[in-house]
Order: sequence, then structure tokens, then C-alpha cells
Amino acid sequence: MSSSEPPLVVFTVLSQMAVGMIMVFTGITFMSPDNALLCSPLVPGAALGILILGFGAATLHLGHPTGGVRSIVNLRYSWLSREILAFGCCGAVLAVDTGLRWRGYCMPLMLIPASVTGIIAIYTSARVYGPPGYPAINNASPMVFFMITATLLGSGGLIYPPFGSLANVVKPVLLVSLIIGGIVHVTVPSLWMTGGRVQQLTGRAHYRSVTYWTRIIVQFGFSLVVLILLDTIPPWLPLVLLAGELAGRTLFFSHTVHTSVNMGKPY
Amino acid sequence: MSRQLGFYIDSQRCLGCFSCAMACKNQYHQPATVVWRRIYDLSEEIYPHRNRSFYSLACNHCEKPACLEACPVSAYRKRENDGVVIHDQAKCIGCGNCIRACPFGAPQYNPVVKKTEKCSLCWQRLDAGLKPACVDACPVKALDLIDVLKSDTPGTLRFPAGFPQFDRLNPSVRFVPPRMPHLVRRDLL
Repeated sequence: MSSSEPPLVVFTVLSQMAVGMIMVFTGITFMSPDNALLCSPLVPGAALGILILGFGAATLHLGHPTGGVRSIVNLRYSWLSREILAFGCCGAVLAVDTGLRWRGYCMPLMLIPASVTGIIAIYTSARVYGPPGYPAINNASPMVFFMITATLLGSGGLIYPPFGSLANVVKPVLLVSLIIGGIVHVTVPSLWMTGGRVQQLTGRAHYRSVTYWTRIIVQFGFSLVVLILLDTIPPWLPLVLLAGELAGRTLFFSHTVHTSVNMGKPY
Repeated sequence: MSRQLGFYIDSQRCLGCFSCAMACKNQYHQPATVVWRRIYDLSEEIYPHRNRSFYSLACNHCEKPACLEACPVSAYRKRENDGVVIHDQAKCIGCGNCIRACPFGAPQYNPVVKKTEKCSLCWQRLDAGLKPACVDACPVKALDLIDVLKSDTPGTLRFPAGFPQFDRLNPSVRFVPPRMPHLVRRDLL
């Protein structure tokens, strides 16, 4: 087992939530241009705030947090350097967009570079947290997990009163994300069980985890039933989703088995 | 690159005596939890005999090191003249990304200085014309230093059972796998 890395859990979940909010808001803006928040700084501002909060949490995992400013030095090789640059670009675009909206300029097109840099940033995260040392996630699975987090929390975050007019619009996105997320998180550990020894150990660690099953039942099963049965989205539902994603990300870091654990045994 | 130095590990000779690991500790005095060289006992699935067999492993000084590629502050570099992968602790910010990236578990987190560190192949000793401390300490010559670009010893393997296969990284290490014991049945004598 590896370390659960709480600062990285918070960073990855919050940064993906911020990108998800912008992605979903971009979709709403261009599909229903008459919505009340079209020119409001609220959504980009909230996404920027969440992204900054995530960045703050990320510095806590460094042995020497003040050295973090040097971490874009190795752009040639390091996905971590590229991740910081990509999230930095996404944050910069969001800051400019929020500032312009605040001063009364309405430029919805700014949402496109914000979303694109955000998706690129999520891709770089997927490369950082799926290194060769973890065969189970050294593939496309982290990108799928992270995009599910982005759409789930991005749409869930937009139901609250300041963005009240968006609650009904985001419901289908939330519903589809929950269905896809549930299928993926139930299926992937079984795929690991068909792989090499280290992948099997990862799959087994997930299946033996109470947190894993609680998350599947509460975050995906219960939330889906609530969403289908109720006309409106209850305000506590996004909090359940956030708790589920934090628990899931903790599993991602702590229950994915490293190759060095199996040295001297079959691979 | 003119040379690529690496370890030669002879599992037929290794006794699992920990002299190499102790020599490494004596040379660098790492904190108790930090181990640059580990002795791995081969499981029964690989070596199904009562007498045991071992791999003594440290950093493999790969051709394409995952640690070097993962480090965001360029704290790792690969020496041109001998291919040794060196970690510059002054640059390290303790992010642990190299620890996650290396499939061989070579980089270790030092909780005292809050930075990462790993086997340096005793490059200071190499520059002084000496062999690494672990190689010098082995009482049965099971551990040696070789130039993997020139070494062509028959019977050696790059990826024996019990060692993860990462062709892209190309670890600079060669193994003599354990020999299965010769069983003698008294009733056939």
C-alpha cells in the first residue's frame, strides 16, 4: 500500500471540480445563450477560487513548500511541471475572464480557452498520477476517473443559490455522469483482476476495502436513486458527491499497488 | 554515451548476508527508515527450494530514468561519461514524484531533511578510482560493477523472474538467475 497523500487528494479533487464547473458552464452558455448568468463573474470566479484552494492544498505535500515556485523547471520531461503550467494557464484565463466580467465586459468566448486549458491540465494530472511504478493506473484509467470527477462535481457545484437558475439545466449532466461513473468504478477493479500480479493486488485491495463499497453504494447508487426520484436536486447531494470523490481519491492513492512491493515475486 | 555502468548480480553466489546493504549504510549513514540497497528474498513461486535465493537491488541507473523524467525541478541528471544517475539534494523540494514514478522503488524519502535520495553508485568513489562500497563489501563476489554496453557474459539476464520488466527504462543491471538445485535420490544411487 502507498501513502494516502491527503494534500494531493484535496488538490486533485478541487482542481478537477473547478475545471468541471467551467466545462459545464461553457456548455450551458453556448447551448442556452439566454441564461441569466451569461455575463456574470460568479461561475468563473467560483471556479478560480476553488482552483486556488486546491493549489494551496497541493503545496502541503512538499517537503519544502517554498521550493514549489521552481517546479516548472523541467517542462522538457516532467508531467508534473507541465501540470502546474497547465493549471496556471487555466487559472490565468479564469482570472482575466472574471476580471472582465466584473468590469461589465461580456466575453463568453473566454470560456473556451478556460475549458480547453482545464482539460489539458486534467490530462497532465492523469499522466502525473499514473506513472510506470503503478501498472494498474499507468494507462488511460486516471484520465477517465478524473473526467468523471470533473463532470460530477462541476455540475453538482452549479446547483447552489448563486447559480440557482442553472440547477435544472445541469441535472441531465449529473445524471449521465453518475451512471457512467458508477459503471466505470464497478468495472475497472475487475479489469485489474485480469492483469498482471501487481494489477491483481490493486484490484483485490479495492474489493477488500469497505470505503470502496460504501462509495459505490452511497455516492453512485443512492445519489442516482435520489436524482431519479426527486424533481429538484437536494442541496446536500453535491456534498455527498464531494465526500465520495474525496474517499475515492484517497483509495486511488492508498490502494494502488506499486511494483516495488512485489520485488522477488512473480509479476 | 561511452560507458553505462551498472550492477552485476549473481544470485547463484549471493548468500543474503546483507554485507552490501550494511556497507551502504556505513558509507552514507542514512536515517533508519532510508534504505538505498535492499535484499529481496525470492518467493517460493520463483525458486521453490528450501535453500534460499536473493536479489540485492539498489538504483539501476536506467538508460531512460523514470525519476529524471518525473522530477519537476530537474534535481536528477545522468552523467555523460558513465551513465550514473545522480540526485542533487540541494535542488530537491521533496514532492515525492520520483518515488511514485520509479518502478524499482529506488528513490526514498528522507523524513529528516524532507527530501528524496537514492543510490549514487558511489560516484565520488568511482571518480577516485574505487568501486562502490557495496561491491567492495560483498564477501562472495556476488555483486560487481560492469559496463553494460560492453559486458556480454553468457547466462546473464536483464529481466529475470521477480524483477519488473520495463524495457523503455532499460535498467542498467544484469542478473545471473538462481540455479535450481541438483536433486539426488538415494534409492537411485
